[in-house]
Amino acid sequence: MTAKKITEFLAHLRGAPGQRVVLSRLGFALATLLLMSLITFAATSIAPEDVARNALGREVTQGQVELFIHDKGLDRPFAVRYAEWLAGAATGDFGVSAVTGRDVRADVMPRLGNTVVLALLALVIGVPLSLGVAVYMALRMGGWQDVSLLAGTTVLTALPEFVTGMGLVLLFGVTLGWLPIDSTALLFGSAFDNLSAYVLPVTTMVLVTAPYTIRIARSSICESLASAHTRAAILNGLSRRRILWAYAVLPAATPIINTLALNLVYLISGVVVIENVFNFPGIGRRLVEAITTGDTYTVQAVALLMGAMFIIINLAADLMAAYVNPRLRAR
Amino acid sequence: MGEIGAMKSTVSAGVADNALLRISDLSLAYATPGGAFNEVVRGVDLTLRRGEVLGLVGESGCGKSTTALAAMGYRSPGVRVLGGQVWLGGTDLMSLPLAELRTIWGRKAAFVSQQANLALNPSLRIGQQIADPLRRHMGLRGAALLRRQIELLRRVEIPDPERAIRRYPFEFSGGQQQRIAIAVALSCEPELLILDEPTTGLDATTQAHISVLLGGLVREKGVSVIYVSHDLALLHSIADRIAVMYAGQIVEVGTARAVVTAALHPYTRALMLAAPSLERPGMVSGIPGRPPSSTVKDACAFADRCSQVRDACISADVPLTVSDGGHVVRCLQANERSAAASLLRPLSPAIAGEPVLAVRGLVCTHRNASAPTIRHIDLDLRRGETLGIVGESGSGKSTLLRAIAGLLPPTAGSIEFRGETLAATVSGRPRAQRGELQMVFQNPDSSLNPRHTVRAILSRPLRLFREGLGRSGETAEIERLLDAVQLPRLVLDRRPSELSGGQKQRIAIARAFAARPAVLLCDEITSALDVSVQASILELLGELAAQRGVATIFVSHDLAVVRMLASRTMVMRHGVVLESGPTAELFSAPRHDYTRTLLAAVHDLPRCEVPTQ
Repeated sequence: MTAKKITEFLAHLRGAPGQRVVLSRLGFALATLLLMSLITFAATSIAPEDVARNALGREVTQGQVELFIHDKGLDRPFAVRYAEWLAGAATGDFGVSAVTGRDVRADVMPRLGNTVVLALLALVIGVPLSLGVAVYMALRMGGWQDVSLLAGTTVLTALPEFVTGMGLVLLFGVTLGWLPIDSTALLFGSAFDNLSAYVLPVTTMVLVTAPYTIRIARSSICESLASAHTRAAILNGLSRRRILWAYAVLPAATPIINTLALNLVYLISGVVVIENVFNFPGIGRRLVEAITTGDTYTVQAVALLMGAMFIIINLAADLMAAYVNPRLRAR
Repeated sequence: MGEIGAMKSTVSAGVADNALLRISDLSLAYATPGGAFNEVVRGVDLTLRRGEVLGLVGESGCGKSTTALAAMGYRSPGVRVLGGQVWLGGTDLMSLPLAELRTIWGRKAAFVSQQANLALNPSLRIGQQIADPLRRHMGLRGAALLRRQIELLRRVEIPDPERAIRRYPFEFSGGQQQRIAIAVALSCEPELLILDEPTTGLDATTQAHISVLLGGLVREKGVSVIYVSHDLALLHSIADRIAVMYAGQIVEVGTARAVVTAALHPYTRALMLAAPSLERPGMVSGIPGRPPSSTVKDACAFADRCSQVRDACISADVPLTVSDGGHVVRCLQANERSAAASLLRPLSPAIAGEPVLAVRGLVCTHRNASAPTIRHIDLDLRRGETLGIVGESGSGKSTLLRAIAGLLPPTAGSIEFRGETLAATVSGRPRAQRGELQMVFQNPDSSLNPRHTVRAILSRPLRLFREGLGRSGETAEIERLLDAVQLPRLVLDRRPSELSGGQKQRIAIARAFAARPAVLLCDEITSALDVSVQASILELLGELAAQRGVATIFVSHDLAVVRMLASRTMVMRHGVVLESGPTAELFSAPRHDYTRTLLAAVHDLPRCEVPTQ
């Protein structure tokens, strides 16, 4: 009976390539997440003594260390500890930090919220901006506007995020004094303070990621503009707007979406640097704090969350690429 | 054939002028990186009458596609109009602004380009692509639009049009994609239809189906057509008149019959001799040299490839002269037909030696395929003979070659080479066997490493399979190979991207011969090439194989090519052999209905009309 149901289900999936793609990607994402959780846990707490010494600091006796290990159950086998931790993590319970004495979840979640808002703002501003600039450049391919923008994006791509960030701080925060150089205000400031606290970090993120997207999108759209199907659309007398978006940009979307995903993934690691430049109270800065204070549980939680974000973004990009590229859907 | 013939309208060359399109004194140039202009079309005058089908023929690079696009008033990026007008009705398309051209394109004049797989938008459902011009020009919406979409798809014989409108281009075969592109072009009932090699790259039966379909549509809609092709035989059966282009100039125009039966220009005659034909079996001859890459001034552009060249030909521009029946030609020697002997040489009969290859009960199934691609194939090959394999796309002929080459492990059956059973994959075969079984692929662009020089490409098989040649022996051998494929030494340090399509395929052939093969597997090796280039490649292959006693399996969808080269022929369909036997017998008295269908689909130049003089 069950076997029959499974065969029926598989047959149904064969008939629906789109669903099959979604399910296979989803399964792959879950497997990756599980593997990543194992690596994260193993890397941070395979040696119980390190966990204890990190939490207790240098000036401790062997007895204190052993007591800590016994108290926290670190003397049990690795597999048991991992299973217990994973079960907790699955429900959002990362335990109580041995360093701060607070619940890790309650500590990390608001920070995660701030970072997500930061990344989303960068995305919402960065994507239309990149696409618009790329289309503008592609339509003027080889012209002076295209060439100068291309040079500009090359320079920006070459700059590391802390240089771009520091440059913006110096210009807008110090020289002009328009914007706060420090985003700590987010934790307690007014609505206006909150908003201005986001401006420089978001600008930095856009400046760091957009140039690369622009370059990829530009060359992809240029290629598409010169293609036989765009010429066919022109020779069918279609409107400029229809030709541009449906015949030039849409078929060029797959590489652009993949680049966006790479960028977002980069943003997650770049966020660590950017948040520290601006003292932005996000998950990246919390990670650095936790590492310096030897707060193993918080490091585990943040690492797992960042990894999950990686995987979710890649999954979303894969599904979106499949959505705009019918060929990928069929595979 | 009868149906295609019906495409010809009743318009004849002498009828009073009722021109739909008149191209007058058109000259076009491409901008070069240095800022100079490279003239590619020179002083073209052409008139298309209402309801007429005008064929435009010539080798690649002679300006026919550029002219066809210009006939739409379209200026390709980088193209500069040096002079001339294109009159459609009372308007000069060349002087119209883009905004006004947009109201003509797709509405009054439509264009179908070659390679429909590239001309359709891969990311839009085909229903959308048909709907776009209908919405734009006819203002159709909703149910009326849907009705028209389905009607158009039904008219071009796309099965199940209600479901087809929701599919994407990649879900259709090459022939179906071209039908869809034709449906898009005809959607708003244009008066003028320009077809730029619409069937190039499709197999013979699909080509014939599409030609029949076009014939019916043209008759039904009364549309006037410019049909660009490199295939004179096809144009002979489809067009009312034929214009021949060479180096950006019109060199001959006349009724289709006059151009084919009484060709006046040596170039037109050379094109005919280059086309393999079922009716006149014999080795084709290529046209020596290549067409110039731009127009030629103060001389006949064809002079350096012409066997009848005189001093007068290279001292001044040659004007067009009109002879009886409105037959126009640009040649000083047009009335002094050369007494040059026929260039058709009889094929030397192949002497088949001892058996080299035996395939028994071969079955191949592609991964994830529900049915085998080839089923129980047997074949025998003897030293020095050429076996032709013909069939449509999807008949399994390439799969068979790949299995023999060891690129696709068979699911059942055996392949014996000189009495020894061959391993299923090429990596399992000893080096000597790998050298003795060589393959030449369809597309030299992907079969030659773009980063290697010709020298590196040719020395690799020598090092692998002919150890002990030494450095000087290797150089000498490479030079011998280049001579054999008739390429100059100076190509040695070039990379494939710097060579023409024909030159690249010669290198691919030389690479195969470098290994001293006993069996040569050729997979559609000339289908990407021009007729004149194809002719010289076929000549070359025939000679080399005969000289070296190589057994060849030649896979092609072009029956005339197989007729010319092969001593035995196998007809395949759906993975099985339908008929096989000596080529002459099989072509003159086909036993299987399918073979007869294939033969009927071939456009041929008429037997009595070959200009052999």
